[in-house]
Formats: sequence, structure tokens, C-alpha cells
Amino acid sequence: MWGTGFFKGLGFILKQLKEKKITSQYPDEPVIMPDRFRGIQHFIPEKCIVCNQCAKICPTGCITLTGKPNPDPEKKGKVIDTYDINFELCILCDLCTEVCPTDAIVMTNNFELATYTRDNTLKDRIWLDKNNINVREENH
Amino acid sequence: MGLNLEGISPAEQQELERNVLVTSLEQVKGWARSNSLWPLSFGLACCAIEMMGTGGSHYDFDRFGVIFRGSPRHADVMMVAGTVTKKMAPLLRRLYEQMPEPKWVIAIGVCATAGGPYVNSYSVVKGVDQIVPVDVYIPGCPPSPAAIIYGVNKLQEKIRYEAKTGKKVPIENV
Repeated sequence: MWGTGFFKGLGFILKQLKEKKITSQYPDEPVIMPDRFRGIQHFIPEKCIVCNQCAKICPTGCITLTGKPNPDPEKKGKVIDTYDINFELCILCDLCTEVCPTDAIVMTNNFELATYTRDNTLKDRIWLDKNNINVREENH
Repeated sequence: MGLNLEGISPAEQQELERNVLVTSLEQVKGWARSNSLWPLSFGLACCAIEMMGTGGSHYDFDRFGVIFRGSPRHADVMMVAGTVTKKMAPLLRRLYEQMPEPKWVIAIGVCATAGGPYVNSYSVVKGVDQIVPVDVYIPGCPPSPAAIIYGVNKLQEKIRYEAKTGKKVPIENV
């Protein structure tokens, strides 16, 4: 009969009107990312033993770090001096957090990283230390 | 009644020339432009998938007036999503020049920002800002749709700020 398809379609639309909207209201409501999401790293200088493994494994070579001798003469080893992640090159492969023996570098869920200049994407030790919210629970 | 125009410094004079007459009009233009950003969808690699995903119904790009156009003549903003090879670079420049003023560029992903995983490659342009002026960089490999929306909102903020004050947007120290 003529018109059945029309009413069938209209009925479907009316049914869909009651459904919950699927669009995320992102700038007004935060997006909750899953725990394994890779946002940007969080660095804990106290835990770092300057083993250089993260800088060596990085596929794009975006991590540069320097160490200095431990200020306490009793203790051996080094402590971290500078730690920079050139985030304009970081491909978020997660190898640095996987290779770190002391979990000094861990991943967070923060993704709001857009900037007006390329220079702002260089994240230094102080910025990465402060970036301590939404840190991933389990790192291996 | 004198206006006492002798006592103003050159810096103040510049400010006056920029602002006095057309401030409100510029603000209205900035508001209108920032709420109808029509991007030229320049999908070149996997970042384009995230850009398409942002256009889909879950993260609805149309909420911000972002409607993808296939022609550079329709577009205000070029979203460079993906690896720009040296062979593609002249075409990208030509498409940028075909866009009417005012125009902006967003570099989506680390490939468009700095070369990304292909930073040691012989055939990849190390950052699209070597070819066209870029307004907003969105790092990530690829950035999630929410990060792309954040970058577009940053561009809207920039357009409104520059229309309101007539100055370049300040570089934040983060």
C-alpha cells in the first residue's frame, strides 16, 4: 500500500527521539579516557636513576636527559639534572614507560595539549613533574 | 574643544589606529568567523581517520560550525592531518593559496607538526610550518577526537582574541 514505508520510517524516528543522545558534550563535559589511554608522560625526578634507557629506546629520539653526581657523597650513582621530552616528535609508543626500571616515567591520560607555537611542545622536567593528574595506575 | 592628540606616544597611536573606529565590527566579524570554520579536509595519513571520527556523530564537529568542504574556495581553515611528503608539499602550498582570506591552518598530529616518526626520512617535510603559516599545533600520534576539538576551540579563541584586541595572541608559558 502507498505510504506504509513513510509511516514505518516516521515510527522509527519517533522511537529514536526517546533514546539517549550519543553525542559527547566535550568542551562542557570532560571526556573520561580509558586507563590505557596514552596522553602525555609524567616524570618523577626522585625515582630516576639516569640509566638512559628511555632516551636510547625512543624511536624518534625525542627524550634528552643529563645527570649529575649525587650531591650526597656517601651515595653512589647519579641524580637527574635535566629531562626534556620534545613532544612535537613523541609518537606515544609507550616504550619509555615500559623500559623504565624504576617507573620514574609513567603515562597520564591528559590530552589537552594543543598550542599556538612549536616551542611550547617542548616539555621540560618541571612541567612533566607537575603533570601529575590522571596518572596511569598500572604501567607494565 | 581640542582632542589633545599631540600628547600621545607612537605606541598609543598605533593602538588607536587599530581599535577606535571598528572595534565592535571586528568583534562581530571574529565571532562570526570563529563560529563557522569551514575546514578544507586535508587528510593525508592516519590522522585523517581521527579527523573523520571527529566529524561523526559521537564527537559532533557540526556543533562548532565546522563543516568539511572539498574545495579550497569554500574553506577558511586548512586541517593538515598527516604526513606531508616533499612531493605533496607544493600541492599543499597551492591549495593554501587558493583559499580566500581570512584563512588559518591547523597542524594535526606530530607528522604535520615536526615529521613525527619519519623525522629521519629523506622524503618527508619536517613540519608543515615550513610551507604554510600554522596557527594551532595539535600533538599526538594521532591525537584523539577530543584533542582535535580542543585544538579547534583554541583556534576559535585565537580568532576572537585577535579580533577583539587587534594583537597577536600571547604565547602562553606552559
